[in-house]
Amino acid sequence: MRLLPLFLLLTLPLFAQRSDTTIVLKAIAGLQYDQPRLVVRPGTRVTLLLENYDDMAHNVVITKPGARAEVVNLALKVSAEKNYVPDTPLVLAATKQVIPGAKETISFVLEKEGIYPYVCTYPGHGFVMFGALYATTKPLPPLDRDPNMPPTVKQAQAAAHAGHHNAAPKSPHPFPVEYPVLYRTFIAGSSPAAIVVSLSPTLSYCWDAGQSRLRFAWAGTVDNGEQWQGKGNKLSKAVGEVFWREDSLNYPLRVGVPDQRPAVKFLGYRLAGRLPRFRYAVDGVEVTETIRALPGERGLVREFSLNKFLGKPLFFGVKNAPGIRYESSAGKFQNGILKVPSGTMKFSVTMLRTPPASASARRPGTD
Amino acid sequence: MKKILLFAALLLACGPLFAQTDTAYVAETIPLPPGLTAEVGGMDFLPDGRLAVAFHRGEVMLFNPKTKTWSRFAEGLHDPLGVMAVSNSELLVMQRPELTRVRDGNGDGRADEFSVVSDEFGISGNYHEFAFGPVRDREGNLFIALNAASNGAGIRPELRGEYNPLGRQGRMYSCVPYRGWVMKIGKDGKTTPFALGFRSPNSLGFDAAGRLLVCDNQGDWLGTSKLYHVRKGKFYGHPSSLVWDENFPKIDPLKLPVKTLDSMRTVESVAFPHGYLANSPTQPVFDNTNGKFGPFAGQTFVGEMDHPFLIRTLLEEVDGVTQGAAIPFPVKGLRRGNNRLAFAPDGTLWVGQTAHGWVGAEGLQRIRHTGGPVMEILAVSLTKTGFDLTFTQPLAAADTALFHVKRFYYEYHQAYGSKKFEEKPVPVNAVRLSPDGRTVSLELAELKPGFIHEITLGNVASRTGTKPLGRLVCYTLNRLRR
Repeated sequence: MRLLPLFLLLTLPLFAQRSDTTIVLKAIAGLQYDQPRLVVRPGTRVTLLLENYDDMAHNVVITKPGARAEVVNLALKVSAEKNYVPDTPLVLAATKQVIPGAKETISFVLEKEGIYPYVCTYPGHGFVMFGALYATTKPLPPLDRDPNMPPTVKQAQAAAHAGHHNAAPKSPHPFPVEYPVLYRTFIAGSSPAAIVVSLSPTLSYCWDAGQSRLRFAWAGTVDNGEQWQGKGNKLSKAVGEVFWREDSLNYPLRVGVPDQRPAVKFLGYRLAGRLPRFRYAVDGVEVTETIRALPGERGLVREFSLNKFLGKPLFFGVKNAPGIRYESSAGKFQNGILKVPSGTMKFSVTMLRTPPASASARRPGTD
Repeated sequence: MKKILLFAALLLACGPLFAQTDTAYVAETIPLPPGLTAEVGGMDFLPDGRLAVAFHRGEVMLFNPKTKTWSRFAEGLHDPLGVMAVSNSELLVMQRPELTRVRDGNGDGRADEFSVVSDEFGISGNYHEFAFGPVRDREGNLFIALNAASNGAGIRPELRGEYNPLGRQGRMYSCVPYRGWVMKIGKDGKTTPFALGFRSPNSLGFDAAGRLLVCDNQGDWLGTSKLYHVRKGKFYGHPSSLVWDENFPKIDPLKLPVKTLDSMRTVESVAFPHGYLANSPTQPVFDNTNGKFGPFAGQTFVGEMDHPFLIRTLLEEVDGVTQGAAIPFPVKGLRRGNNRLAFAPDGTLWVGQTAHGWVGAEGLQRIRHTGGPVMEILAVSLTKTGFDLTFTQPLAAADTALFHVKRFYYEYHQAYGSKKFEEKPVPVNAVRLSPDGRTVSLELAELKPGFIHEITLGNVASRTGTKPLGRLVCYTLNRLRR
């Protein structure tokens, strides 16, 4: 006798009572919804709110189980005025056009257990922009083995899978990665006109073509994976410890006078082998800057050469950076400013990493 | 009864845009080197017949069509979206931060010199600030186009160029110099702003008549996608770029009444109806093959991202204004994502595909005219009373039941896209076939400027029974013939 009320409690909501649920689904960049699958109990009244966070218009159409491809193909013949929603019983519910920044709610009941596709039927979108709404009380298959998932999910799963199993990353290009390797990209800590150079897998620097100067250096390489995805909204990442950074707005190199900000113009770069030599003009004087690794990757050496003889000294400001010792091939440092004597056409500034005492046990000159 | 017949005819006309058996033009897929993510941003043929292709991850690869081999020319560029060959060892490449001269100086087949041709424009770091071009006019001046930013994302803490908060408003914005502009780089190397009012100008091209054509994409202020004939100093309608016009007052251009902006703008030469003709038109190129590609020598082809076909545009000058028709161009086996087009010396049209986070595809295809006579509309011209449609082959017959015309317009307003306004059929009063059977003159009940006139062909066929490739003609009627 005592079992019966418990039995009723468990079963009544499932069979005798209709439940309501509200789901917020977002259309996001890269022709995808933020959730590739949703789950409700059969018989649920679903209120689905589509919010468009993308920069193009979308809709969402709920179809009968297994009818996504057919609905998408039918939608190709439907005009924009009809929101690309075909007039067919295969469509259970559909929003109108949801322009960027807008939202719309639809409401429907999924009586029967099943896997109900939801899809954007804008021309071309439906082949990639979809998901699966499960009306079930049973457990779902693992995401990576769910055949109802869009390619975006499959790709993400495959990438995660590859990341776990491959020690040596595959080249992202149709040729092997050779060092030094140069990428122009978006990366934090630079203007948007950044050039990232990895001298080796364990030593990289960022040279800012927007400002014609070195911005930061790190012990590692660069990950462009997210920057290359889709529209390029995400930045490249410096992977590894940043050991030097120049955020000062003072341009380091001055011609003739130390306290006057020069006019600087980026001219380009040449590759010697694969090593870049940056070219830029400082107050009309063309400068070539080559950045190399110090032996044992103990730091960087920046070689500067001028295209003409100057009857003026040069000044090069350095930032007092912890763990970095500056040396130069010519001139003298005074209060953080290197004065290079008049007539010098080539000089170099070395940035030597001086590890703290605890790390000095490492043998010098090795990795 | 007449109305019912018309309705039935319209229903029939709503079928597929093309005949199902078109094989006059076929696309063949070009094999790619393993490991390549083939999102094509730029393409051009070198004088020696090799094809230079720039890809999204910064590679520039050369393909030799004779040996069918790929080689690496350059790498490390930032989202290159345009390539122009200068010589067999030198390219101009438009990448995000600059127009760059990429040159193999030591003759080893790999580029070793990367020189700035122009970086005299701002970058806020917003992802949507793409850069397109270059194209070269007959005098040797270069032109590039700069995309506006999108409020789908913000801007970076460090910018290149001056920041103007007045240009930061709106859905697509221009907060650093010359976003939403076409720029000219003179033979002297000087960069000057040329024309403004663009949203997403992917991409530019010169036509056979020397007109600078730029496509722009449906969105805010663009009720539908468009092709502009771009001339110096003109404003083409997307307001944010106005803040970089030295003669424009220091105000937020979005605060101006729409009527005022409308009166300032130069309208498009061709509007591409959204959804079925184009969602994102791309690069215009003209057929320079002297007939190797079929009967369309000198005509302009435009790529399209969302549809597996290209578009032909036929421009004419009417009452001092450039306007004309857009006609979908079917190609058997063509994919979507047709971002870049280049005619090869052998008369084939090469198409580079991308998705770039939107609708599209990846890879490279070559479109070949399979030979034999092509049945298609060759020319469209506005008359005082209607349109003359000239076909490549004589028609078997022509009567009013074979041509269905409607008209509508898209509104110029700030909101994203536009519905069709005042859409209604235009009765075809009379149809006259020229003595040679090739030109059909349609006499319409009315012609109304400011409207797109959409002509759908019914069961039209040549004297040998061949049906035309396409069935749709969208004519942007800006001005009437005087």
